[in-house]
Amino acid sequence: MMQDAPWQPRHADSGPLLRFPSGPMAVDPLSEVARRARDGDVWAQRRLLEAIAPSLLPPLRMILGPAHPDIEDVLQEALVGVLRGLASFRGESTVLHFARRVATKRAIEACRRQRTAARKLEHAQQLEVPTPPTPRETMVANRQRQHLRDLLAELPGAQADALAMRAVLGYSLDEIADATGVPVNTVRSRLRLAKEALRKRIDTDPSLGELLEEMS
Amino acid sequence: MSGVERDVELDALLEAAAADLAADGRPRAGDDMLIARSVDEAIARATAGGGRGLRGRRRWAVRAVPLVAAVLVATSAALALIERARSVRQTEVRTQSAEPASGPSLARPPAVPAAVAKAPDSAGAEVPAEPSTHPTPAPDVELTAPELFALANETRRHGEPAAAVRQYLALQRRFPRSPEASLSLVALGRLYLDRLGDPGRALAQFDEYVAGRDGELREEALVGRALALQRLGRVADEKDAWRALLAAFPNSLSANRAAARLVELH
Repeated sequence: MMQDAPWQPRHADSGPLLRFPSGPMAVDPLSEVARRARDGDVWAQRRLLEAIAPSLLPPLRMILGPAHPDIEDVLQEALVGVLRGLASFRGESTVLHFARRVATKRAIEACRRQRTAARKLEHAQQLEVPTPPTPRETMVANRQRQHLRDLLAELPGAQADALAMRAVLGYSLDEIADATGVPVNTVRSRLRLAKEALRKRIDTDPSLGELLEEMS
Repeated sequence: MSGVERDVELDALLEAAAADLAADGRPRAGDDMLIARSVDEAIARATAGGGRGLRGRRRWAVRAVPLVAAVLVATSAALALIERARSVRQTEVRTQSAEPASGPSLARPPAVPAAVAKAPDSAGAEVPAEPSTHPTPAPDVELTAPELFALANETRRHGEPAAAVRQYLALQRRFPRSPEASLSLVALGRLYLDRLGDPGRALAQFDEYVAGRDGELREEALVGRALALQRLGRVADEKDAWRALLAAFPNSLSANRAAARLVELH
């Protein structure tokens, strides 16, 4: 029978330490609890997840949409992913940074899974007829963010990952390069392709073009 | 348009879209409960090493709980029959001989009488009574304190809060001095607070834990107290609770939250 946090023994100093970098990262407030969590301390796992979960919801909502029905499932997947990923986490970033990246990846995966032809059709129909009368600025914003979400689901994996880190997590080029282990120029190229794709989508969206013209 | 101009334009486009996305990331009402459920489920999945999704686990739980209950009931019934048969046999042996029985005992701990099982729980919660005509002891009657605690946690994780409440309360009633009963005060407090929207009963659980010895979950209990008081709208008590948390655990993971809340209440 599975045991729960309260009676789980606390493994104070078992196993090798995670390599957290020196400098500012050394004060990562979650490093100790992450180390214990990695070593199987269920109490620490719970505390870690409770600490990071509120920070994972915003990127999930940004990628999936604020009222997406599977937000809770994807959050769970992300939390499980964080726990499992601790084994290979080498402290290249803060624990929270790492967790937000895991969540972003899970959200993109979820987007890809759910982009079935039926959903696309349904979405296209929704785009054609925006039900409540909304200000043009709002409509433009809605359409632009939907295009960005669609792109995250449709772009090749590496481009989508780079785009999400830039647009959702606000990473710099250097940070994306560090996180993905590729040269900065590669990141720049991926982002450029992603942005071109976004431009193309927006340019080929006739009703968005009309809205922008009306606003100009 | 030059390459640089094109880049600038694309960056502006991306920034505009990203700013729109950011608006969707704002916290929403009910996030606390969503997070609590997700953490519970993630811990269970990670601990079990299983790959089932939330809905799969719920379906599994719905199927498994009755099965486990049936097995426990059947086992209890079988043990009761064995015990009864043994008792009859011992009576017969004693009647035939003055020698006391000396074989290995099959006796299990005595079952809790139905009257005790139905007694009001210490927290005063409305717990549905056991069926009065139950032919055998309740399935959890013979469980040890750790087993009952584990069962209650498992039930809670499988999304059966009402059943979990009954089991936690049964644990507190039957094994009031056990370490598990003490720990269950915090688990049950969180259950009342996060799942059942009952901060009053949650507060009673946390208060009881905090009033006891310095337990390993004291920090969690203090956080729970403060949150329960917040939901009850008892502002002065809530302030005291957050201050107590900060005084006892200045490095608490909830320290920032406590400080922010105190500023907000100031």
